Amino acid sequence: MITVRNLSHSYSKDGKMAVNDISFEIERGETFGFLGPSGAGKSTTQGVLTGLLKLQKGEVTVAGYDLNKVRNERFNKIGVSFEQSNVYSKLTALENLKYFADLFDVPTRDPHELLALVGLEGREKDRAGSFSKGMKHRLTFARSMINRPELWFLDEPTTGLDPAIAATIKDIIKEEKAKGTTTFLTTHNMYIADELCDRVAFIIDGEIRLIDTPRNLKQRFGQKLIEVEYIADSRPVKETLKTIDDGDRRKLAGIVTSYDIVTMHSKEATLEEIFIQVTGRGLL
Amino acid sequence: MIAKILRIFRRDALVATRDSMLILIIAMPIALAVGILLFAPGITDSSVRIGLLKDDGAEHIAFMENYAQVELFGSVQELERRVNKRDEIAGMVFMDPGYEIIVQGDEDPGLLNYAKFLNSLFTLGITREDATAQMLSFEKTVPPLKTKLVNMLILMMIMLAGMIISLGIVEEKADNTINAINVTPVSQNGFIVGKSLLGVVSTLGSIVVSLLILGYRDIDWLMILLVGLTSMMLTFIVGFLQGLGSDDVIAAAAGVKMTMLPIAGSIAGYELLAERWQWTMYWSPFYWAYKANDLILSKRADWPTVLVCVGLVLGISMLIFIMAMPKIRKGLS
Amino acid sequence: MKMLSTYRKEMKIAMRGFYFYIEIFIAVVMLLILLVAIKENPDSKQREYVFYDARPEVVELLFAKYIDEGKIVPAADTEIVMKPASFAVKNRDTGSTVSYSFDSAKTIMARTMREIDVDDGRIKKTIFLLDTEEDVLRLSHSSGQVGAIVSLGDRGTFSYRYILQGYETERLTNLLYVYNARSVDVLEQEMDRQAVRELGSTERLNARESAVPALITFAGSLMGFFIVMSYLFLDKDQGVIRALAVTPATVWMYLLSKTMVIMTTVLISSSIVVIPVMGLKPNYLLFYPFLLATTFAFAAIGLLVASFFDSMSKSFGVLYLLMIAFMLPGFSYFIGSFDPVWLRFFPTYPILYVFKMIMLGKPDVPYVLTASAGFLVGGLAVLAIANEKFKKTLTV
Repeated sequence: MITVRNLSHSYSKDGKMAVNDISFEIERGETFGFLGPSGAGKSTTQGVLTGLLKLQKGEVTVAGYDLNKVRNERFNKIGVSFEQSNVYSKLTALENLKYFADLFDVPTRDPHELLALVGLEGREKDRAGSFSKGMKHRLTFARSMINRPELWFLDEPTTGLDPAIAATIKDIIKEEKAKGTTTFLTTHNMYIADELCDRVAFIIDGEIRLIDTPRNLKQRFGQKLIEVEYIADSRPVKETLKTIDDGDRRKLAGIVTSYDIVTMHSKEATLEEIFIQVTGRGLL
Repeated sequence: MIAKILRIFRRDALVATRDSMLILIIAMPIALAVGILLFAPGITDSSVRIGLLKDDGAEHIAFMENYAQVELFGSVQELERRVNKRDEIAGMVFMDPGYEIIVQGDEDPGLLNYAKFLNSLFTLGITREDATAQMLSFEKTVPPLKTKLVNMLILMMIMLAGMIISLGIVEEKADNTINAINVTPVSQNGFIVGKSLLGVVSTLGSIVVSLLILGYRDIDWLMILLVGLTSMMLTFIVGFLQGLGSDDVIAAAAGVKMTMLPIAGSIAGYELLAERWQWTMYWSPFYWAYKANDLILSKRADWPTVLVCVGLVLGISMLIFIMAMPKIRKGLS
Repeated sequence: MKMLSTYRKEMKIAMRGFYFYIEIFIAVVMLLILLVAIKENPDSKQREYVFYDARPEVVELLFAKYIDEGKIVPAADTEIVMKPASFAVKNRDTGSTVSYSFDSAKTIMARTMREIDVDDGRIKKTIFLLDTEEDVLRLSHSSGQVGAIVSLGDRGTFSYRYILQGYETERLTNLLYVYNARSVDVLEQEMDRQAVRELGSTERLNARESAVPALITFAGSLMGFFIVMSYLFLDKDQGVIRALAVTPATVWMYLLSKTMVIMTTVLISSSIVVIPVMGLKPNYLLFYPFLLATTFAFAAIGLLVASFFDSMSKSFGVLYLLMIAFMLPGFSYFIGSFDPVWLRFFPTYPILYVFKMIMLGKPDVPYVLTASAGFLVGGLAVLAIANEKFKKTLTV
């Protein structure tokens, strides 16, 4: 669905690259997570792929269209949900969706159905200007589905949303995935990526450090951990011990036999921990 | 593509009904047209004003009323106070053996001459019955000054067209929606045309309505609309630049001044400059638009002349358009 | 002291922006136009098309006298192109209408005379002597200018047929009827006998000078109105105002320093125009206080308008409309006979006339001082209202 070969992009003429020689491929139906901290090159890459930024260097095909040749019709197959919500505040929610529906050449989805999907039923006739930040975000999200996109770009789809709504959004993404929609998900939230993505790419300083499935990554980099809390000298003590480390294993055995255990959990490494391990940097 | 352009226009039109500023801008020219209709007789009647005393002879008053707007006063002091006011009026008071003409002193010399002339006619006892002249008339009804006012009104509407566009772009920018449009199959050119359409339609509409209100029914409509449409080109460019660059407030302010000046300057140049200095205004598309409108409204226009004017307006605007286009494109992406 | 340093800082910022220089540049351009393109006593563009239905010698004789007196100067023949046209001409005295239709263009060389104002030498009108009645009708119709057909009657008197466009007032038509009822000599003698009393100064501004009050009013005083808005919104966009809000400087001081920057700019740009054109004629001791007071007042109005909006672009509509409204008194200024009462309520109306008075060099001093004080006090009042509004909104 997406093929990127040696993509580079710079905003200045001094040779400083925002994205430097990256390559990857995304299969049809795949949900691909693009992860990295702010300023790593996520938005630049997505900008190029969606056509908002002009392709400077590299070979990129998106939904079967070569980006070196500008063809606006490719947008009929693409949906983009922006991180920063962008809807006409002087139009109602319904008018917003209807307006954009008319700008596509392909059969579009019923705006009422979409509004219901994102929990905006009953607010169809209200102007978007009167909406809360979260509601505007949901409207932007709904709009990205209006043309039944084959390829769906999601930029931080759950950031700033309350947990219940974030869960709804995640469910919608899963549903679309089940329908076969290819998704390019940009985020710095590793939990979302872990939950939704088939594969993730770690990007930092404009370069992709690694691409793999979350499961493989955890197997490769993650170690099983045991988190144990016990009472020593009538004070609570908390320790995290690695199951593959012999010293830790012996220590754990000692704790279990000698002390009063309060809690004991086994814990998998998170993508975030792996990211830190791989790149040496945090995500925020 | 046409359908999408029309869709953008429909959306803009819908928003216009919800935005008091846009309503104001679109309604303003119509209000001004009504204003011109009401005040044009006052502006275009250049008859000289003469102030007389109420107890002046009825014959003298009646005589003067044939040739001038007569105002009557109770006393010489009152009359002198009136003469001393800013506008131009000449007083006449009977001082044996004849009339004395009272002026402020700084009037146009023509006023005093006219007063002297009228009084001489009266003294010599010349009346209409002595007239040997005959009057042939083309029976035109629209005085030239009214045409000039209407022409200025049209240029103002064209300037406002740019502002309608600028406000539309500002809305897109404030709502951050240009990006959203950029990921639809609408091309940038389509978007630019669509965003211009509200300005075009509302301005051409205001021009037609204003002209109908003002009684210009039998002019060449095709010509006037063609000139209107082409002269809007430049204000569109300014409108887009202003809307897109409205973050740079000072540049936007300079833009206001830079559009008002050429328009005001073109009108002043056309009306006031001597024939041999007219070329100094040839650079301004508004000069050609004003000239073309002047000919059309006074029904002296022919197609070759109008087409030359339109061609020059288009040519100059195109030049500026080519220079501004990269900036507009950049602003829209 | 704080005021002075705020002003100095604002002035420095203004000098570094390009807008300040645009003002100066425009002032220089205006000065050049005034000095180069506008004559002190401009020639009239009025034309008159005349056909004398008489023997050439008679016509020669008729003009010889005026040429001797210097009232008329012969000029080189003019090539005139007449386009195809069709129109109807109504004789208002007989009621008959004649239709004309000319299918082809016609080019003629017309004898040309210029009527000169003997006082200042300017051209009062240009007279074209044509060969046929039709030519007069065609040219008068296409140009909208005066035409006359003069025929020599039996007893050596001329009879006139004037060509009206149709929109002339009845009063003007009446005048044309009697215009030639007596010989020019008789009328001139009588006119010279008229007693005239002048109430005031006979000093007048020439065409170039009379553009100055309008330029200063509209490009000077009035400009402050919208520049101050842009300066304000610029600061607002950059968040400078928020930074200011957490210093001991007050909003009042901030607004005042902005208007002072405008006043300085207008002071410089107006001087560029006024001093070279007017020289020592105006009373500068009255001019500058009045200029500054009016600029201040308009800047205050600008700030008040700005206080209703949160961005420049939203204020554009109101801005343009107010500018147009404020410019309306210009009509009354340039068209002497148009002076409706409602125009006098626009603040620019008195400003135009006070500037004119000052330019004439013999102003009514108490009046000008009162007007200056009035604009100053009015400006302060408006600024106070704007200040109250800004206190609530400026930092939001």
